[in-house]
Amino acid sequence: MDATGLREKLDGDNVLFVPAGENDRDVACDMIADLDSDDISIIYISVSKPAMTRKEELADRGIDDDRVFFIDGSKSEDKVRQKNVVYVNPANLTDLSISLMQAVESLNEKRSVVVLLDAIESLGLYNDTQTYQQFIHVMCSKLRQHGVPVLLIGTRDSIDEQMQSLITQFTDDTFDPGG
Amino acid sequence: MGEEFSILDETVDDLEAFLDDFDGDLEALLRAEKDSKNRQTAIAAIKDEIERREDNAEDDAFASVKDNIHEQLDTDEDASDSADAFNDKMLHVVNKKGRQFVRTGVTGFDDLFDHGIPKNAPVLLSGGSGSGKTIFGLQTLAHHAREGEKCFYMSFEESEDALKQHMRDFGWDPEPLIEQGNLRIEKFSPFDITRKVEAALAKEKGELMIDIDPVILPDDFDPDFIVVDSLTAIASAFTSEESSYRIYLDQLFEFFRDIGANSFLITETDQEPEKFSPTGVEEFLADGVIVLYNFRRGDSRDSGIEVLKMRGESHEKKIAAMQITDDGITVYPDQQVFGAMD
Repeated sequence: MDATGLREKLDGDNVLFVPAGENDRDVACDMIADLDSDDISIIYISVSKPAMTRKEELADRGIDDDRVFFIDGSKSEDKVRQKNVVYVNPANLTDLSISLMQAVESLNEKRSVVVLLDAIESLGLYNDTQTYQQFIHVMCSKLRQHGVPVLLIGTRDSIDEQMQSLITQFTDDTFDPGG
Repeated sequence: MGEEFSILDETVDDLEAFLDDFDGDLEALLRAEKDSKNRQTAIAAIKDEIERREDNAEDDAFASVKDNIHEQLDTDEDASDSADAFNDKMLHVVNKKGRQFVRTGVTGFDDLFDHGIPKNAPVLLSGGSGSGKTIFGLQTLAHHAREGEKCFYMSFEESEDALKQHMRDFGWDPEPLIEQGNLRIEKFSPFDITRKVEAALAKEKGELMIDIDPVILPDDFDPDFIVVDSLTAIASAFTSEESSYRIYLDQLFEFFRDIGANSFLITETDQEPEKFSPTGVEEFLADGVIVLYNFRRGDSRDSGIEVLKMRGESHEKKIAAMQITDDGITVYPDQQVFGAMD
């Protein structure tokens, strides 16, 4: 897997679909590493893995997570108070959306913001299809209005035809970390 | 800040000279605000006044002054913050036709309206258990009492101590407001009301007009804002036929309109209701209906709020997201509730 070139793919307010393969479990870390710079803040919505686990993985790779704001929707039991982590219930997409937009509005004043949602199919575990698809659609539209690019990570084999069709409708491009 | 004040002073002076050609109200507003030594508040008030007249302001010069003020406010973070704070604190607004509206002070909620809740309007505050009706009522009264208005919370369910504790929990200390004479919280028995009403009706042998006050206000207290918590408790205390309660309701709504106070009348409903009051009649008699929702989402709950009806005022027609935080209720007018009422 390789996230090199991700930055070049991001163009203002575009929405990229990132299809991850079974072996691309670290794709989010790769992308955070590639985007790590003084002028970018990353909002990482983590549904598939607890934020603290991600933080440890980033630390192991020597990546400073100071510019990453985590929205942890993994239902982790281990809710450690951290200045850059907020916990939400993945079944409550309204709260998730409020937290995301508050983070965007406060971070966007200082630096460019990029949003990573990892992983879209995980939201389907806690919400009916119509609701979570509506959430992703509304989220992408709002972030476009704010000029914030979005990376929608999805496990290639876990996304059904209906979801693929929806993703095609509102994403601008695909960034394939596998090649 | 000195330099910013200087710019704002200059703008006020320029605008004052310009507005000589306009009516006396604006001059009075300028003088009053300037005398108050709060220049930023004066700018905010002028800005509101200009916006109020926006439709009629075809005069290019007026538009240019407005643009200048907006430009200065927009580039002056402190002044802009001050204007926002002023708007949040403002209790009343007046529309172009001179009609008065009341703002609740509940964060984000007033943005669901063009202006606010029409003055003197009796409004139902409906919702299921735990949806935030009592908090909404207390938050509104705390806001108005802090600004010097007389506020009265009439409880037919919870004790005075419990309600005061709720206020403390959210950081709205009730004691100073009570000591200043701006807030009263009193517990009533719904049976005291029903006994009087039913006795009066029996005496009048079913005549529709009864000669009693539907609620008893303290003699020495003339409230600007009243919360009745709840109509559901009163309704359940009526032991005779439903028509007695309906006659009582008619008198109650008339009473609130007559005394010139704004009122919130709380009603208990299902969590995702189709009927917003005990009999369904209340929602026709009230000038407005505000519905608070408490949706179930798997193992979680999600709050929302909707202005279902508000006679004489335009409002958003959607369920807006709402959160109950440690500081009270916050409404997010631009945030939809996902999965609501599917």
